[in-house]
Amino acid sequence: MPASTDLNDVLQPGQPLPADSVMIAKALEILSASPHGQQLANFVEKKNIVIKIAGTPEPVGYLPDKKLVYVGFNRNNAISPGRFILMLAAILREAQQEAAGIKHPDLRAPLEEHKKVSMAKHEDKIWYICTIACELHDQVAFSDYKFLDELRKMGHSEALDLYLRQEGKS
Amino acid sequence: MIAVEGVKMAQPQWIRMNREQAGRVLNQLSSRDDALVFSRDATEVAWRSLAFFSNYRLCRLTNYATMPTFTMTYLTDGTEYIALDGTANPIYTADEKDPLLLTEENVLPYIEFFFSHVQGSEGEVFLIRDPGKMPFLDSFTDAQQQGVMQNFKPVGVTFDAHRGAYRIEATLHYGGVLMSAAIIVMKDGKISFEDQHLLLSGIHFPDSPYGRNWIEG
Repeated sequence: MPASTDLNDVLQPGQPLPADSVMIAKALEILSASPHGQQLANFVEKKNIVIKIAGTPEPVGYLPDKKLVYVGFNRNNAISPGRFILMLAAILREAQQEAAGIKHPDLRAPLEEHKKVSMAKHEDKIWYICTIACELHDQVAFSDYKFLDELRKMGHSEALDLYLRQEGKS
Repeated sequence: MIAVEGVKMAQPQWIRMNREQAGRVLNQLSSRDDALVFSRDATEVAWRSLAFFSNYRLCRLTNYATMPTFTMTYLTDGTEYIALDGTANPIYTADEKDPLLLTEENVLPYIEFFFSHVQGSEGEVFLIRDPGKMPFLDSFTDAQQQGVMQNFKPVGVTFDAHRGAYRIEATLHYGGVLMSAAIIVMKDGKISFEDQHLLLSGIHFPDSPYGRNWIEG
């Protein structure tokens, strides 16, 4: 039986993680090394965006308020630093959209409006994190983070391939 | 030993709270410093009972103002709210506060509840009651499907009076492998595993096995 599939690990706490404030500060520092990530870090500072880490069953970004973002993950199955940074970038981009007045339609709005606006917001967000991932991937200092691999693991493989083709990087 | 057939006990339905009741829950939650923030206008609150608790029940909050919607589930006695965060600790905390009413009939639902809310480093644990109804069976090759059928060991529940614990022999999916194991459930709800044996490897679920079968029932 491989050690990694010993069921008793279900009951063990995960590897110790740094304090939430340290994780957030480090993630913003790394984002700042990319031009597009720098815009997000500036946005956090100028708009006093509060960033919190939550314990959630699955990895998730959550924006309950335009000035409050959460990055959630399971402490038994902690996400990689690269994924944490990209998830933070994605939810901050969504906060930036909201601050710019690009909001999700009212719950009672027609389905077509939901599709149109939500799809546009999602596309923008994915394009943005593809850009950040590529900008950081191009820097030797961050090669261990494997940002492009992380993006694929997050389920954005198709979007990344499209982005790389459009940017003439494939 | 009780042999358990591949039929699941019907899960209680989620009951949606009215606006006033939901408001009370949101008020109680918002008074906590570590509470997640939910939109008052766009959050649905629902609850359902759990057969193995007398005072605690499940409470599910879904914020429809976000895309995709955001959901958190809590164990609550109506006063205290314990967020189910994917680790075992919240369930064990509730077990301590509201001693479990475990029987040979509801120990399996307890295990399935536990597995559907607790992940290991390799992902979710899924107890297979009936290999013919295993999630994503169609996505496996013919040889893999045959392997699942041949290796499956039926679920059996016994009570070990000496240890004061239930012992459930079962076939489990975890980390891309099928394995047999004895799940030990102590009276206080603590779970451990013994006699783990690899049955079949390379069995990967393309998605959560709980996504469509159990959690949101």
